[in-house]
Order: sequence, then structure tokens, then C-alpha cells
Amino acid sequence: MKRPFFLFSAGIIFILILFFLFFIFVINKKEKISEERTFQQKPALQQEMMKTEETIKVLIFLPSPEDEFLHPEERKILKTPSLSNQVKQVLLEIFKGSEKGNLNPIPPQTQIREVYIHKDGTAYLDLSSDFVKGNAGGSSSEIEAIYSIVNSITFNFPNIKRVHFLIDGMERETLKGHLRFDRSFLPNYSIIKE
Amino acid sequence: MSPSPMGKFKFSCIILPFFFISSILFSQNLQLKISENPGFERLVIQSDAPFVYVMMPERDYLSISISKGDFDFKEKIFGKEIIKEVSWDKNSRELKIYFNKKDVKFVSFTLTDPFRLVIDFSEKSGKETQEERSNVVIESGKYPKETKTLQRRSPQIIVIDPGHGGEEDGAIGPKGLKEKNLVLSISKKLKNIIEQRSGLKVFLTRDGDQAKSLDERVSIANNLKADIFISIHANASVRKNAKGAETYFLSLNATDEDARRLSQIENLGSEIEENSDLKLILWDMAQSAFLKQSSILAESVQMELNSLLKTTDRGVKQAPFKVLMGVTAPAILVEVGFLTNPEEEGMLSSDSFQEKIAEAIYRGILRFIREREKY
Repeated sequence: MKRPFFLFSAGIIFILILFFLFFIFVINKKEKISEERTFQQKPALQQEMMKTEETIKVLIFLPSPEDEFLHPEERKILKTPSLSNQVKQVLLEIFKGSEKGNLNPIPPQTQIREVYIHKDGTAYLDLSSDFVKGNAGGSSSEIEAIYSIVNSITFNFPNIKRVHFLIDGMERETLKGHLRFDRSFLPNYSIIKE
Repeated sequence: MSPSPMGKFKFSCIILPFFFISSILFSQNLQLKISENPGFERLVIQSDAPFVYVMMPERDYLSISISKGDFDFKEKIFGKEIIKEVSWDKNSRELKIYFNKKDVKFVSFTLTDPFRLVIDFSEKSGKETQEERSNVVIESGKYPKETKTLQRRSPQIIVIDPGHGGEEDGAIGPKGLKEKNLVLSISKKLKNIIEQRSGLKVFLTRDGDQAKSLDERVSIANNLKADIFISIHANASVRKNAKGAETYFLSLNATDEDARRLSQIENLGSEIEENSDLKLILWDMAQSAFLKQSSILAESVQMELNSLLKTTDRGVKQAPFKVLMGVTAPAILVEVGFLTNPEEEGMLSSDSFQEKIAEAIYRGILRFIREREKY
């Protein structure tokens, strides 16, 4: 009678030890992940850009005066070590506007406050409120501004899957009453035309 | 002072194995059983943990979206006399129940310990077939006992939403025409036309220059049990010569994100009712159940706008519009024309052109109702 009981309790203890080891492993791993996931603010744009002269080609997408599609334009940005810095450079290229007679969908006073890249593939773009104030406030003007940025960013940086806008550091419900702004945007390449 | 790391660790070692054991014992496997009874067939979905579900009668099947768990059958199982077959799409998390009979009604309720969603299907008598409507059920396992029928009633209530209002002007034309005033004027004309010429009831989300939040607009439509929701807007673009009308329905732009958020909050268990994130997701799911119908409504309205207005056809499009997300009915947003185009601003400011737009949208609604009856 005693022997099976002994085996049974030994088994239980063994299983508990296994759980114990398993959870040490899991806890350690989880802590590491949460550390990695915290946002890291990157050093100032210019500082980092001074360090490198190597460039990479990128495409930005801008609305055309002829049709309702976004059209690609090639630009060169500096191959800086941080991804968020490269994203900022692409944004600045969009903000500068077209070199080929396309239109600039971004209100001219718009400033980049900060760019954060989350490990899950979301780029958080914190823009100044001029981005909202200067928009003409129609569905089309919202789509032009939003997807110029979203498509340009996701197209050039495959690790970035979606873009989440912040205005003056805060989330907004919509840009100007139409497209929802409180969640991330996936790219929409169907509105691009060569 | 925060607890010492060692204390925290010991605590985890004692508590966590129990969670682990319980998570094995209560893995979220779903079991599906169909049984035959006199007069009805019973379908039971059993799970060890409560799940959230959205039931939506489609044209030829009943769709049940289930928040978590997985069925033990591979693709489909076959039913009995009333239920033809049941298929499970792991990716869209949608269970589809097909029927052998044409008019099937059902009663659903939930039981606990273990959690079961029970749906009884029976054939409908001739009388019941009429005068019944589709219903979207948004409920967690905590609110049982709802009776639903599969048959859709024909549309009776239309909610028209004039965009913007109050401090929010919307787009403004070069000559100063404000979108909020223009769309209110068109909406009122549309209401008149519909009510004069049909038995449909029309409600506006605002009938003056009031500020209304987008959530309020959606609530109005859902509380009135709207059968059709139409938001009316006027467009603007950086391209000054952009012109023409276009019609939008919702795109589920952030589907993967929604899925992720849903999985994040699944673990909340009893707090689920108060969790606003969950509500948000369910509202998304609500419109997603109507996307097919919304696209038909959009096509119907756009077709009539093209033929009546003779303006540039910009077609039917999809975008993640906030105001369409939570509507539990076919829902579209019509951009009647471009205020940023001086020529169109001139046209839009004329009473007769606004009348034409209203007429076109009305015809589009009728076309949609006809299209819908074909199914």
C-alpha cells in the first residue's frame, strides 16, 4: 500500500519541480521582452546624420494633380544606424513636397515631434497639430495626407507594418471627422499608381 | 517600498504552477454537438471558459464569430434534418451553420459550468416568416436568453447623418460654402423625399447646427434599430480640380490589430463587461457582419448618383471611417462632391442640384432594397 503512495508523491514533486524550472525560464524571458518593448528616444536627428555619408534609395508617394492616385518619387536618405531616424528622414522628404510637379498633401507648417518604433512593427509618428489644422477636412484630403505617409513608411521599411499617428503627443479620434485616428493604419497600396 | 525580488519570486513559484495546471485543465477547446429532438435540432458549443460571440444571420447561413478557442473537428461536420452542415474557419474565427430548410428560426441561450452556448433550430410556420427582421446579437456569455430569427424584415428605418456641425465646419469652399450647412440641407431634402414617396421612416442624427460626436451618431442609429445608415459629406482635396461624387463603406483596416487586442483582453475574464476595449472590438465586428450589404448599398447609391448628377464617377471605395465602425446595419458615407473645386462648389450651392443629389440617394436606397430582396 505504501509503495504506490510514495511513487505518486514523488511524481507530484517531480512535476512541481518541472513547473518551477519552467516558470523561472518564463519569468526571465518575460522581463527581457518588456524591457525591450519600452520606447527608446533616439538622439537628435542631425547628430546622428553627421556620423554617416552612406545613402539609401527610398520611394515616397504623393498625390498627383492629374488623377486621384499617389505617385512614387525617388529620394535618397542617409543610412543612419537607427530606424526611427531613417523614418524621420523619409517624413521630411514627404514634407518637402514634390520634385516632379506632384502635390504636397501635408500642411506646410507640420513638424515632427518624435518618431517611435515599437517592437511589434508599429511606427508611432508624433506630429504637431499643424498636421490637423492645415488639412482641408474632406475624406479625400485626409486619405491623401494619411496614406502618403503610411504607404511611404511601410513600403520602405519592411519591419514597419503599420503607422499610428499622435498629434502633439496625444491620440485623436479622427483626423478631421472622417478616418479613425485612434488606431494604427495598415498601408493601402491600391491607391498607388506608377 | 516594492516587495523584494525574492519574495515576489517565491510568490510566483507557489501561485503560477496552479495557473499553469488550471490552464491545461481548462484549455479553450470548443466542442460542438448536434442533437435531434422532436420539433427542433439543438446545437451546443461547449467550452471550459466563457467566450464572447457575435451571431449574424447571413443570406444562406448563420454566422457565429467566437472570440477564443478552437474546435476539434477539421473543416466541417454534417448535420441532421434542419442543419445541413457546420464549417469552422480558424482564421476568421467564424462558425458557419448551413441549413436544409428555407425558413429556420432559432433560440439561443447560454449555460454555465461548463460554459455552453445552446442554439435550438426549428422550422418556421408560414405566419412567422413575415414581419421578422435580422438581429445582430452582441453579447458575452453573461447575458443569456435572446430569441432571434433568421429571416430579415424589409428595411423600415433609415438614419441619415449630416456630417460635422456646431464648431466643426467640415470642408469650406473657396466662396465660403460650409460642408456642415450643405450636408444638412441635402439630408433634410432626402428625408422629405423618402417620407413623401415611401413608407420608410427617416431620422436625422442632427437637424440643426449642433455638434454631435461620432459615437453619438452611431448610438442614435443603433438605438433606433436603423435598417440603413447613410452619412452625408462633401469632399475636399489638395488637388483643386478633383471633382465628382464617391461612396464609401468601411474597410477593416486594422484587422490584425483588432485580433491582437482581442487576445490581449481575453484574459480579463469577469472584468470583460466593463472593458471598453472589448466593446470597441465588438462594435467593429458588428459592422463587419454587414460589409457585404454595405457594399451593395454603396454600389446602388453610387450608380444612381452617376446617372442623375452626370458628374465624374469616382466610384465605390473603402476606408476606415470612424462613423461607420459601430453601425449595426448596412452603412455608407456619401461624398456628394468637392467643395475645394470652385465649379462644383457653385453647383452644390444651388437648391436644384441639392434636390438632385437627394433624389439620386433615394433611388439608390430603393435599388438596394430591390437588390436585397433577390437574396
